[in-house]
Amino acid sequence: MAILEIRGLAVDFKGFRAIDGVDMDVERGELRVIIGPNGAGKSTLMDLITAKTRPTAGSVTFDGADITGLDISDISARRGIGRKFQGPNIFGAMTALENVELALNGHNTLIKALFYRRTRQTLEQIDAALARVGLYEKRGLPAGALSHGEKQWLEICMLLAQNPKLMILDEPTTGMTAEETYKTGELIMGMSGEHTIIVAEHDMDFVRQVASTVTVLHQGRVLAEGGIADVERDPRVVAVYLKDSDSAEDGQESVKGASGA
Amino acid sequence: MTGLLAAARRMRVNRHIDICLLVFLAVFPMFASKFRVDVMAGFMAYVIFALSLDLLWGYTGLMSFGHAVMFGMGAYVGGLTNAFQKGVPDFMAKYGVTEIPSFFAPLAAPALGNALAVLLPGLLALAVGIFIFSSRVSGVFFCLITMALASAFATFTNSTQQYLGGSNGINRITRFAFGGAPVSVTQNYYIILIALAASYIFCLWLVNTRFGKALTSIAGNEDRLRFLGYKTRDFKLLVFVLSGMLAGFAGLLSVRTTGFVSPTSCGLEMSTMAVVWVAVGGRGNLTGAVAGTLLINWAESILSERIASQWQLTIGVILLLFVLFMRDGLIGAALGAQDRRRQKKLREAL
Ligand SMILES: Nc1ncnc2c1ncn2[C@@H]1O[C@H](COP(=O)(O)OP(=O)(O)O)[C@@H](O)[C@H]1O
Ligand SMILES: [Mg+2]
Repeated sequence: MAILEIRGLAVDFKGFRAIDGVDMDVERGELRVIIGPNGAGKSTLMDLITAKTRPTAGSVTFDGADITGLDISDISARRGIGRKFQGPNIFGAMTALENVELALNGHNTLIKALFYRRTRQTLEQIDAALARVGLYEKRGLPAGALSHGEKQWLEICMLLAQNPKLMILDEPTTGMTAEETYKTGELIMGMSGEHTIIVAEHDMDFVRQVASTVTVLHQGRVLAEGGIADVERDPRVVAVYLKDSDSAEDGQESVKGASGA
Repeated sequence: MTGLLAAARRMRVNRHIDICLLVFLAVFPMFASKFRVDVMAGFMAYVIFALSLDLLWGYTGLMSFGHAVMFGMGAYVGGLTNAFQKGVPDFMAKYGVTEIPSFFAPLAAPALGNALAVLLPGLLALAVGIFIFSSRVSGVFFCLITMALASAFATFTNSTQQYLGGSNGINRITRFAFGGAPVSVTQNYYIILIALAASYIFCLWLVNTRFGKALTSIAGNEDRLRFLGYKTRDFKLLVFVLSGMLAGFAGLLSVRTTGFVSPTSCGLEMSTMAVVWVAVGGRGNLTGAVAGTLLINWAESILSERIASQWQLTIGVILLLFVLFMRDGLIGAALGAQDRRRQKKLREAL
C-alpha cells in the first residue's frame, strides 16, 4: 500500500483553483519528483500535504490515516512528515549546530524542551547529520553566515535530524551552482529508501540525475506521471514545460536564479 | 588558573558585564548614602520587572505594552497583604468598611498573600494568553491587546476607591519583616539583591534550555518551528505565564521597598517605561535589561531634579535615537562587535 495517498485534492484561493483535483500515490521509500512551470501549484500541493493550507476538497492519507486538516506541529511530530521550504529557511542567529539540534526529533514537547540536555548521544546524532551534508567543519558558524547553498544543505540536515518518514523538499537546489546541484542530487538519492521523499524541482539535470518517478503538474492538475524518459517524450509535457524551462536556462550559465516564491 | 583565564576569555562580553554589575551592586551600600541605597533597592525591583519583559519581548518577540499590569497586580496584592496585618486599612475604613472583605481573606495570611502576589499575575497571563495565542493573532494585535489591558487595569484600580484606594493607591506599606520589626534599609537592599540574582540565574537557565532556544526561534520564524514539530502556542503560553509571575514578584518587592502602589504603577506609562529600559540596554541578552533599567532610572532620578519638565520629552528622544541608530541597544551593540570578531577568526581558521 502506498504510504501517501492523495485523492481529489483541490484548493480554491478566492475563486482561483491553485490545485484542481490531484490524485497521487507515493510508495514507501520512493523518491518522487514533482516538476512543472512556475505557478503550477507545486508549493501549494506541499502546503496541503503538510497542513499549512486547508484543502477545499479531497483528502490526504498518510500511513493509513487521514491527515487532512491536522495541526502543523502534529503533522511533523506525530505523523513524521518533515518539510523544507522553497529557499533557505533557517535560524540565522544560531549556529549551524544549534539549528540541527533544534530540529532533532523526540524533544519537542514543552516538558522535554525544558529538560533536554546535550548528551554525547545527541551530539553524535547531530554531528553525523552535519557530516552527511558536509557541514561538520562549519558547525560553529552562525547559520546566517553560511553561503546560499550551504544554507540549503543545512536545512536538509535539519530534516535528517528530524528523521521523518516522509521528507518534502521544495526546490532544494535553487540558487546552487551546477556542482552544488549535483552534490545535492547525490545527497537526496542517498536519503531515499530510508525515507520516502517528495521533491519539487525546476532543474532538469537534477531530475535526470536522480532518475525516478516524475509527476508533472500544470495549472494545478497532474499532466503526466511516469519515468523521466517517458515524461520527457510526452508531447503535452514538452509543450507546456520542457521547452520554456530549457530556454530559461540558456541565459544563466552556472548559477540558476531563484525562481520566485 | 590559566584554565580559568581561558574560560573567562571564551565568555561572551555581557557575562563580564554581569559580574561587574553584581560586584558593584554588592558593594554599593558601603559607599552610598542610605537614601541612595533605598532608591537603588527600588530600581533593582524594576530590573526584575525588566527581565520579565525581556523574556517575553527580547526572546520571544512578543512586545507587550501592558506588562505593568502584572507588575502592578503583584504590587497591589503584596501591598494589601501588608496593610491587612494591621487590620482594616484607613483608606477602606474611610468608606465605612469595618472588616476585611471576604474576597480579600486569603491576603490576611502573609505567606499566602505574598505567594498570591506572584501567582495571580501568572493566572491572569494564562487567561489572557489562552485567549490571544489560540486565535493565532499577529504581533501588532498582541501589542494592542496588552495596551488595552493596561488602560483597563489602571482605570479599574483608579475607580475602586474603597478596596484599592483609588488614585491614591495604597500607602505606608512597610518593609519585609521576619518575626519582629521590619528589616532595615540595608537589609532590605540585600534581600532585593539576592532576589535579583536568583531571578537572573533563573532567566539565564531558562533561555539556555531548548525551551529558550525555541522561544528565540518563535521570534525569528514561528511557522518554521511548527514544521519542526513544536506546538508553539504552548511555548508562548508558558513564557507569558512565567514572565507574568516574575513581573508580579518584582511588583511585590517594589511595593515593600518604596512603601506605596498606585494606578500609575500598572498603566500604560509604566509599561512603556519598561519597554524603553529594555530597548536602551538591548533586548534578548538579559544584561541589557539590567543595564538599561539602572541607567535610565538613575538618569531620571538625577536629571529630573534639574530638567523635570523636559524629562518625558528626553525619554522620547532617547527611545527614538535607539530605535533609529542602535536597534540592539548598548549591550547588543557590544555583543555584535564581539560576535563579528569571533566569526572572522572562525572563518580564518577554516
Ligand atoms: N495563499 C495564496 N493565495 C492566493 N493565491 C495563491 C496562494 N498560494 C499560491 N497561490 C497561487 O497559486 C498558484 C500556484 O503557486 P505555487 O504553488 O507557489 O506554484 P509553484 O510552487 O509550482 O511555482 C500561483 O498562481 C500562486 O499565485
Ligand atoms: Mg514553488
